[in-house]
Amino acid sequence: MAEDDAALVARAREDPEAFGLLYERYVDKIYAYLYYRTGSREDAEDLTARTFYRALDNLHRYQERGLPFSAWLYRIAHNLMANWHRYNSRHPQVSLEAIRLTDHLGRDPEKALERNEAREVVLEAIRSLPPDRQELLILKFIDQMSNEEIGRVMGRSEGAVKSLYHRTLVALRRELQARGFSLLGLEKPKDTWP
Amino acid sequence: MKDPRILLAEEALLQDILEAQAGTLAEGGDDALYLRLFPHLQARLAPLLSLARYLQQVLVPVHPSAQFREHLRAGLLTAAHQRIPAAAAGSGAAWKPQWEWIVGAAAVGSAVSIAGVAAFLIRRAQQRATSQDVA
Repeated sequence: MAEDDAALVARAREDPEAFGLLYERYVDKIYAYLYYRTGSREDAEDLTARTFYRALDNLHRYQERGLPFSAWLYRIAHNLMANWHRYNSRHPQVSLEAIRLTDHLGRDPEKALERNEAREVVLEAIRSLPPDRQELLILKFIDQMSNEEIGRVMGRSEGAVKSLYHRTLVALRRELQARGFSLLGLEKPKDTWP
Repeated sequence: MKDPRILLAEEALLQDILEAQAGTLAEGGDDALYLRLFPHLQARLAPLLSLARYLQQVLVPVHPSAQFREHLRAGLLTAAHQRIPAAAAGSGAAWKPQWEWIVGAAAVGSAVSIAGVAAFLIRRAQQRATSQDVA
């Protein structure tokens, strides 16, 4: 049976290999979280590395007290993300990744391009939402967290998360409508989505 | 115009349905049931259910490259080997004597202050007694 996070954290304070196991357990999740927030592989890699180095530096200060290790890690990533946004608002850059639409074109390039364009419009609309709403969508859809788990990461109650999810969908729908985007006809069965 | 209490109840019901749908989607189930169960909410519910279904397809897990993963792991382990023994020593043996010294010094300081005040009071009482005898 796999060692739980609390036991691994306790061991990681004295055994570097245990920190390596925690890293293996969370690197993909933290990377995905940061990738969808930044829209850039390069930035996501940079912020992922910073998140884990900061966790390593502060591991001796971490105490569980109702905040699981995963939630603590997401909070570090969230704080780094906030700094990244502040920096980028002062030094605007265009991410090549964000405008690249030609991934996974498959057998039918035109349709695939259409799907990719639609996907980019949705991702852009998500990135235009306030940070807490972006975070909620990523934790719910990518990490498949329950509202209770999301609440721990975001420091909110389960009920508040449920209500925020509803408001987020309403806001995102409005945002997509404002961009002239219609969901009609764009939904595809999962196995054909790139 | 609808009664505000009905609107509030509808709002809560919408939240519950969206939450249930998220669970169904996560398990790969069919969410068509929700529209059939709540036809009176169809106008508000249908676009949100559809959007959530679409998000499920767009927000898919992504992974860092194997090269990045390995490089970062190696860097972290090297750093951990350097930092963890120092942190463990810092949080254990090196700090305890310092706290003991601080608590000890504070106790000695308090005892000296109390003794000083007591000596002052005794001395003043003796001076008063002497001056009364002279008088």
